[in-house]
Amino acid sequence: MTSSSDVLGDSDPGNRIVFKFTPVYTAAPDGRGLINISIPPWYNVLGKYTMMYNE
Amino acid sequence: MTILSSAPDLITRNLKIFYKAMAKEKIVGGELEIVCQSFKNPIYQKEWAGFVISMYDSEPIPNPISVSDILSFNSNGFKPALIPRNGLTITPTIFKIAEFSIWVFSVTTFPIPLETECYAKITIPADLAFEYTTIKGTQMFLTQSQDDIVDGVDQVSNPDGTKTVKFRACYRANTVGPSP
Repeated sequence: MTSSSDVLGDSDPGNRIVFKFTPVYTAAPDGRGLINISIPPWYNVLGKYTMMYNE
Repeated sequence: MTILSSAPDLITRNLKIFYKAMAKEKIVGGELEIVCQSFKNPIYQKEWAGFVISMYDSEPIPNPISVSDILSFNSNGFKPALIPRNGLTITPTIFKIAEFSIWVFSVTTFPIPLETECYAKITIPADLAFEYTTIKGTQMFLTQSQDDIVDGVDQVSNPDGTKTVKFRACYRANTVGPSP
């Protein structure tokens, strides 16, 4: 996992997080599927603060 | 791969990405790269563990196909955010040269949310005489007992002639950033 910004707390909408991985299987043979990314509770997602300040 | 939809669930903290037309060479053992925008970086340096990526098929009730190890995001080495120039003012109470004065530091803008019980550190340039007697604070600089006299101040004289004072602040959650 990498971020396009190396500044702590950077909330610029252009900031990009890249997940790079090699799963065993990605999809059924029809090429359709679902990727689910579980995110730790102290992280912020899509402009909404989910950070737990006292953790 | 074509993304059909992607949406975060802020309660369970899951990001679900539905897709179609996965390239055949990617269906088994191919490397994937997912780019997500509008993420916010962590607010301090740490290896943040706990990310898990799971793959499902396209059934109405998706069946799990594979699950990753626990992944981490390493923010060690990240740079601190800068307080904007217009977000900090320093105002002396006496405007006479070479006289001691009370200085008022006012911070109006922080670029990132702060944790409760964070520390404040002020560095005084080497060419200014500094003699600490009392530090008074308001808002986020009030003490844990809501007193305005800041206690537990740590003062250090640095080899380069500068001085720093450090004290714990941010006891009031409503002064340190958006609510969690």
